[in-house]
Amino acid sequence: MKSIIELNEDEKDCLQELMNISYGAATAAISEIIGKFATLSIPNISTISSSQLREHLNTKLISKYKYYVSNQLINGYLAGENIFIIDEQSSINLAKQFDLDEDEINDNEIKDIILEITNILSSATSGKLASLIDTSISFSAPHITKINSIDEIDKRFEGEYSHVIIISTELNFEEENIKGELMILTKNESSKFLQKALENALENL
Amino acid sequence: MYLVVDDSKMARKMAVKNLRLVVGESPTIVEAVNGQEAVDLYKEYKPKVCFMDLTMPVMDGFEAILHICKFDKDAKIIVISADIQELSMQKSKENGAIGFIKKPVNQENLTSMLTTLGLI
Amino acid sequence: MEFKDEIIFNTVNNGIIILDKELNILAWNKWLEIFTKIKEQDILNKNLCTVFPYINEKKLQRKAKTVLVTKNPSFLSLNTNRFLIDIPVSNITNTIFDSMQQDITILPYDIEKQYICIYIYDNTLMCEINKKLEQVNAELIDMSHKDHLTQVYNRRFFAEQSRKIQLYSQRNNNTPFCLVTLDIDKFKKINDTYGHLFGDEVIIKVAHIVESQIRESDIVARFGGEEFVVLLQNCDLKGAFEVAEKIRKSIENTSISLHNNEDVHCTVSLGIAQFKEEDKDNLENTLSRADKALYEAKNNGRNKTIVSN
Repeated sequence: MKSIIELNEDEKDCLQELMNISYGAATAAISEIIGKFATLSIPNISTISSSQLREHLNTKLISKYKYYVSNQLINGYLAGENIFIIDEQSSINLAKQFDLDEDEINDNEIKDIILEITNILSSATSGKLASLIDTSISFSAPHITKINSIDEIDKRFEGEYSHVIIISTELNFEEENIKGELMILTKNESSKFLQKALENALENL
Repeated sequence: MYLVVDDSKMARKMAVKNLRLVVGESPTIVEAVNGQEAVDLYKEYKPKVCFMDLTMPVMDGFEAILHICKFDKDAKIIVISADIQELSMQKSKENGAIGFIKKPVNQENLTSMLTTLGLI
Repeated sequence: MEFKDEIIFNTVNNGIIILDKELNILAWNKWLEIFTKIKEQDILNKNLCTVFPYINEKKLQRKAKTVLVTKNPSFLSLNTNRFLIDIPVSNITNTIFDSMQQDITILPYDIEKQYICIYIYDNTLMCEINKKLEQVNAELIDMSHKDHLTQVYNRRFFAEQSRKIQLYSQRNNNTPFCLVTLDIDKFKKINDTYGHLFGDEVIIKVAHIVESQIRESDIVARFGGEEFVVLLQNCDLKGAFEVAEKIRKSIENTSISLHNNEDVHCTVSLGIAQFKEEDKDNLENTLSRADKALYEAKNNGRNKTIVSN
């Protein structure tokens, strides 16, 4: 696969609108499940290589903070990986949104909650996106690690991928100081599949 | 004539395309890219129905609806949005919207809404 | 409940529970009947959280809602929840866990009727392998830090740790710390007279005595054949001298027995230096000064402590 997949302006526009609808489904799911209101920002869409992915993360993360990184694999034609990154303080605030009392909050409970929010965001967003482009996907169980410094992130992204399409958005909760980053990543075949689906959607307009 | 308001080109295209399927080729359809433009174009064209997105720059849909309903008490504004939280639907109704269509808009949900509201 | 796939439902090698959104049990498969010894007819229509009160009801309720809203699966993570239903393991040999470690998937079963389905997978074997791996890794790391013979730290680990302590002390108003170098006197003669095996025993004994005389926050490492270095945190020269003398006297008064019940004594020489500005942030310089003091002790009769100025 020699050439990098590039999405043209119209395709990006189309994908942005599809993501807008998918994010709407995700935030509605959150509000229905935990009764709290969240927003997902307008997505930043780019096609990159794995080293650029590391750069992207380095710009987003503050070196002094500790972060939780959770990921969930998506299977099917739209296969890929959804990654959710959230700093420690935001995680604690998030736990309170899930109605946990101060004394209930510990590392295990926080991890559980992050896994849950990852699952809700990931399944609602990717699920909706898949249905909009008329394909089926399935989900693997999400996993989580705690990262104590930015350098640890580097090790996780050592694999060489080209044609990674990354759709990145910021999660914010209305009242609390909660900030998280959700990334939807596809590579190779699934990136191609996504591009084709966008082409088709545009043709049918 | 009809007014379609959305900051996304793709969303406007989809709305216009489906609207054409319902009302045919003859009616005029005008597009606005944000709430401010919507208010200005509404004053100029006085459309039969206005389709409004909620999240837009400069002026959002909630505000635009409020403004339009102030100078036209009989304004027929239908919200088309991806933001389907209860609170958003409520707020739009309070500001004066008469209907709400969940994105993606298609021929069915458009026809159904317009029929229910007695607009076609 | 009617199931066309009755055979699959009752022969599959994992637990299947079908519940309504309040978590009342609508179906309970054979795997569960066997593992929990509860028959389906005895548990139908009972609430899962009433039958198993240790289940976190709030959490499970929320997950049930999630799958019905998103129409996609939710999971109970194995890292943080060991199991949903407590089932004792059957192993008699070779077991770390008392209860089956379970992987749980929750799915929507019927969106209209608001029914959900829970799959329970036995993941105990995988968890045991992981735990053993963790243990072995920890042991390996420990081994890479320690001197094999005496089990005190090795030189490399000492270098890492002392660097950290140096930085820490600099950040905290330069709290003082000292290095003590210690060398067994006439060790070659002990080896030649009594053999290498006995020589090893002497080294081990000396290491133990040093360890017993220092605090939790201090570290001792074996630097060479018969040489040790101690880092005393939060300690000035006066304090270091006291500790060094205690070590020296203790070793002087200790006898190590040979197999023929003959008693052997040994002594140590010590040099002390406190980390100072003139060391220019380099612990090697401090160590060098301590070594010079040690050398002086050796040249002045041995079995003494010399402090570098």
